[in-house]
Amino acid sequence: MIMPQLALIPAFPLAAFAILILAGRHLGRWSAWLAIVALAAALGLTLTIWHAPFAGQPLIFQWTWLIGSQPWLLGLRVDGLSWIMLVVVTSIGSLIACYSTGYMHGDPRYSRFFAYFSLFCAAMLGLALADNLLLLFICWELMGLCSYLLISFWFEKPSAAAAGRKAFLTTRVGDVGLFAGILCLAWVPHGSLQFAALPVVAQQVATPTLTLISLLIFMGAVGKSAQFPLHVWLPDAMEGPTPVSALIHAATMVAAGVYLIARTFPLFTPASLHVVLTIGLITHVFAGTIALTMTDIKRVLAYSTLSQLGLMVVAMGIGAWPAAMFHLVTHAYFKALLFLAAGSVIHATHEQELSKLGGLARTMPITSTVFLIASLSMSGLVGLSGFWSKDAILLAARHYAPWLFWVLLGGAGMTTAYIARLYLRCFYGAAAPHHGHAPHESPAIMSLPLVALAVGAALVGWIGSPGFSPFFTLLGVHEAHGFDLPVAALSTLALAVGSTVAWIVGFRRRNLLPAFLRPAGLALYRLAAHKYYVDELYQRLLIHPVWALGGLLSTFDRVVVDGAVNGSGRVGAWASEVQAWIDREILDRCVNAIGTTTRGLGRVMRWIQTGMVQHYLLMAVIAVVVLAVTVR
Amino acid sequence: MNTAAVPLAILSALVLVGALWVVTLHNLFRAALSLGLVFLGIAGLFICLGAEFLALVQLLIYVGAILVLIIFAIMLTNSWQRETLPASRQRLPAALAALALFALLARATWVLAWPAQIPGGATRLKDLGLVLVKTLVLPFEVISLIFVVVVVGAIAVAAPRKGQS
Amino acid sequence: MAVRTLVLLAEALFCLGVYGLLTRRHAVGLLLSIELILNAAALNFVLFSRVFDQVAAQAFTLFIIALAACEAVVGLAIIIRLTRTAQTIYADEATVLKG
Repeated sequence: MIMPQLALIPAFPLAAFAILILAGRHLGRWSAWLAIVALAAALGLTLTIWHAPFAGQPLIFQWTWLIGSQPWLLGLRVDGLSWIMLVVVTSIGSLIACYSTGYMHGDPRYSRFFAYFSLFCAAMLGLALADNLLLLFICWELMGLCSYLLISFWFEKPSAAAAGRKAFLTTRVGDVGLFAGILCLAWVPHGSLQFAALPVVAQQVATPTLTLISLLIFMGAVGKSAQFPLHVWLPDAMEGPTPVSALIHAATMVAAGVYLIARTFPLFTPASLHVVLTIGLITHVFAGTIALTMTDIKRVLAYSTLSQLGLMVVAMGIGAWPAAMFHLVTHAYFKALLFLAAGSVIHATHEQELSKLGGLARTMPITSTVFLIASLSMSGLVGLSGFWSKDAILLAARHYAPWLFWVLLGGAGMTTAYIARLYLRCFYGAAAPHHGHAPHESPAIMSLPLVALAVGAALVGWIGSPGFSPFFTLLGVHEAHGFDLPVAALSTLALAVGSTVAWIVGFRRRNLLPAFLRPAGLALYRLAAHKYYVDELYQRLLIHPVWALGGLLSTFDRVVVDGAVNGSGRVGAWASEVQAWIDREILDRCVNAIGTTTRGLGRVMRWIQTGMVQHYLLMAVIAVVVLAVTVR
Repeated sequence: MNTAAVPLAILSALVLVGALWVVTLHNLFRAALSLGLVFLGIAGLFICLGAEFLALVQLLIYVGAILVLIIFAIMLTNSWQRETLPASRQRLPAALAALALFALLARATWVLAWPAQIPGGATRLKDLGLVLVKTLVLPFEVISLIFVVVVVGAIAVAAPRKGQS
Repeated sequence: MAVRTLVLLAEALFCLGVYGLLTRRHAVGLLLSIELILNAAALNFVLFSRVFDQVAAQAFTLFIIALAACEAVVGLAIIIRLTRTAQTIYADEATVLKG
């Protein structure tokens, strides 16, 4: 079904961006409402077209971009997968925009923030709507730009500026791979960039080529979704404003990598799926252990995001892409809520170090409650969203290989442990001493979106629960998985163990390890607390060699290139001496002679120029008469 | 010479004499009054030619507005005038050039075949109005634009700059 | 006969205007001469509108009158400016254009 209105969905936020970037200064606090209204309009439009994705018939709007022997089509297309992304982005986006009006209140670049925010939403909606890899890549890069702009939004802080640069450069590494993959896909025989044509392409292209292409595309996903080894930018990205962390670096943009894999899933061969699984598993476990040791609220959440994204990639790797998408949706809601609640804490206390927080449950009851709901949802308490999606992945893992099931179960326990530790240390225990004012609950404009998101975080999982699963119908998957009691029981057990460990070790600070294991445990803790020295490794292996190479090149520059330049300069200087003599003795004299002649002539002509208009006029009349007499 | 030509001849003489005074009278104020005479004569000629509306406009705008403005200008700049003013040094060449120009124009137009008599009847004002708002609507609008430009420009040119009084 | 004399009258008016433009020393005198020239043109337009039966020519006479008003306003503004910058009202004493 052709539907040109599809273009309006990203056009609303794009128009908001254009207005805000041009006239934002004059709009003041209305700029926020402009962004919110644009997003709400996009949400409304998305919701009105619900019937087509459910009926399994895609909505299409295509136009010709380049004309050649084979015209390049760009287009928008809404099927179940992209409709889900649209709903997630617009609903969470508009809630976060509401929240931001409170959080960013009084910022000198208030309207600029909402301009970037709108541009990001337009790009993300464009990415979800794209029906081919090219348009997707364009929006992908736009999102990267917005991410950079928003991370370094407070660019007066050197750390924020550096974090923005790091995010931009690191994701660029992945994007090069994605671009190479797109080029390969366009140039191989029978290749096509249209998503609808990918299953056919997968049948016609040779398997090794397909593996290469899919791994290159996966490289892009690794960069954007911050998977190991390109994960280093995401924790630093927490330098940006917290609503940005919630929307871009937790709920939507980082999930774009997972979405990309789901979109191009037909291209992935068993060999490349192995790589996907390995990378996802490494990220899941590795980021989970780091999250256990971090002491900054936003960094704990950042590593938890990494870990959850790893879980989605694992699900992709074992072929359960609907489960991965399901977890993407539930994760978007509860992680956005976690970040916003954390932002509420930071807004109230101006503090994000765990050691300086505590006992906030009494002063901030709403924030504390929604944080608890989101934490339980993420930990997978039976009935909450996270349970259903995690359960779907665990079931798929059990079908794939028992060992993977146990590893993921351990990961679930770890998830519970770090989020419970964060919750307990932040909201329970003795209230930390505060300098200045006492912490207070955030204003209504911030807490209302929190409550709305809490409802989403608790209930959104029911759309994919066994027995009632419109979600999987949307994705075109019909074998609904049943409710598996042992798996549910085991994951509840993991939750119990994880939270108990968090209570004893993380909150009460008891060391459970027997004495002979303590040095090893301490070493492990140090390793995790230093993020496994990955940044230092990059510093040593990549950045220092590049600097050394730069130094070498600069020496080469000085000695060889500069020498050559100076030598040629000396020759040039001598040559110009000769030329100057010729200039002075011959050319100048000619020129002066011309000048003198002209001046003499000018003296003669000058008496005519009396400066009196009437003289000129008289001459003009005489000229008219003379011309009229002579010319005829 | 028929009877219709009599007022035409009188008016022509009035215009010619008035114009001569305008360019030759030493006293500028009198020259301006002579210009009023010329305007009246032209308005009369317009009536003879059957263009009553234009005659009315001529009186209203030229005599009523422009002449008043010019007299106002003369009075405004009175303090700058000197009592003894030597005549222009280029009177003779100017007279020769103007005469030559007239001879040229007269020779060019005299030989043309003109209708013997001026067609009678008056222009219908309705036709004039229709032409103004139909075929000539663009120049008509441009004129109004020019008015705005003139008002702004005149203020900009005449307004005292900073540091001047 | 009548048409020919009226054309001659318009030409005479025009040439008198030119003469005045060339000889008047006072800046306002120049304005007067320009009015003469414009009136000559207006007279010609009305005459020809009658002779060739073209109503549009009379519309142009209206435009000429309008432009004459504009010209008088701008001319007056220039004269006021002239008295300020060149400290004179006489056109041949303002010799800024002298080479």
